[in-house]
Amino acid sequence: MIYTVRPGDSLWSIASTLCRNPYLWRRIADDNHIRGSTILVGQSLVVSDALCSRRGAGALSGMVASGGQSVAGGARFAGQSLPPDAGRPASIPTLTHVFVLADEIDVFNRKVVRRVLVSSKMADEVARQIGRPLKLFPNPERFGFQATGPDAVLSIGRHAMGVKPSPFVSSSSLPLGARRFTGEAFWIDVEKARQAGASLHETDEIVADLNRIASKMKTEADKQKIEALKKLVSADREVLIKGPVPATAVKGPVAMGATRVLQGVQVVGFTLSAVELGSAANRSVDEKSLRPIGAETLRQAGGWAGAWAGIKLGAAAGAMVGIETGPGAVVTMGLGSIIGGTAGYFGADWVSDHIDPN
Amino acid sequence: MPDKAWLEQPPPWVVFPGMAPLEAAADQGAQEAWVDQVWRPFWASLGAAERDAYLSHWGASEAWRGAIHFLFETPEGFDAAADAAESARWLAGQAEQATRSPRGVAALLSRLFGKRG
Repeated sequence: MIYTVRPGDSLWSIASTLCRNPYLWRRIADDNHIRGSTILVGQSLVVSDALCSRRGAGALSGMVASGGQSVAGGARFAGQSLPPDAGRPASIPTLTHVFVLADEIDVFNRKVVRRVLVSSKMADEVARQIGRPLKLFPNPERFGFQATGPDAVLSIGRHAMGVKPSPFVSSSSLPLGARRFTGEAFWIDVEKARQAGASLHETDEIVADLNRIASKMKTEADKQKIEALKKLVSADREVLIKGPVPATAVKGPVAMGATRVLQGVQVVGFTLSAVELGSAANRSVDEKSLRPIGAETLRQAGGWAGAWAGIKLGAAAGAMVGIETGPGAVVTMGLGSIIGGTAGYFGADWVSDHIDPN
Repeated sequence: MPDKAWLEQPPPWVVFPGMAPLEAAADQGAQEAWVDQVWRPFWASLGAAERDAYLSHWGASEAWRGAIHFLFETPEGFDAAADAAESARWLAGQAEQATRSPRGVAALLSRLFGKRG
């Protein structure tokens, strides 16, 4: 069969309606040689009969019989019957990547920052300053972080005293890291590092261990040196990581900046949803009925819950749910008690339309 | 003088002019890279007499002399494994003590109205 893309369509919605299985969107994209998820209004998509059951056939008005045409035919435009906005993107494909990226470093997950010398430009400046070149640190976004002595046996206090090799990797819980160190900041997602087997030692623990070491010092001068180290550890808000930090847990300044911006997008989406809820609330007052606000609450909460579930799949298909509904951690938590917070977008939308069609 | 080429290696306070003596225990950034790649191997390669000569040559302050000996020379008889085991016990004890101590409002009330002496 051949389906002609209409405004508002996405591969997800087409697969959902035509095949009764939104997760087949990738197969449709592959069959039509579509890279990513961008489809254009007026574009014809070849949808294999074998892929979709005939139960879903006819559900969309843009669909026509293909007469058994090969799925290898590729995407094309439907000639003279194009709508006025033909050629425009049917949905906003860039947002597909928004929520995938934003999910990579969860806004609610704690981060610590490690500064290392990665950029050759910065390394050149340092080389001029110190009079000799230094080896660049392997890009942590590709290789993660490893300790100088993963199998070494060392206390955290001795690491803070500069003893190497050490099984620990230093970082900081300051938002931009310890600024006294020259190098690029890399943000480590603590939860992801823990999942990879790493453990953390907080600033208080390091200071406590330095107190132990100070108690063993024989001279006042050495005790004062430990005091100076404790001040540095506290000022840096130093956190030690033991165990491997995988590349997937690390984001550099560019990726982290983009994530922050996209988290802003999420906030905007949340605000818009709040406006819609407000509008529904006004209608409830005007109509002296709880139905509009009830329906909108269900639509929003259910949709956002579905989006969150989709995002958690970690796949583009799941992210596409996020396009239509927005990420819902906060809203789901806030409104989840009202409706249970588990309805998927489509189901919630359908139910809410039956309460109060809009 | 080729036999004294080691004297030409600049010390930390020359390479990083703003660095405080104890900051030589650097564990991040270019400072860590320099200490690990250049300074630590260099210092380990010197004998006791060379170290004294080097620090005199570069006019090291007392604070820098003390910090370099403190940070880059292992105390005699130091057992890293025994120290790590003692640290683990110490930190476990500290954590247990912290869970027993009242926190927040409870700590304030305890301080205000608790038994003294």
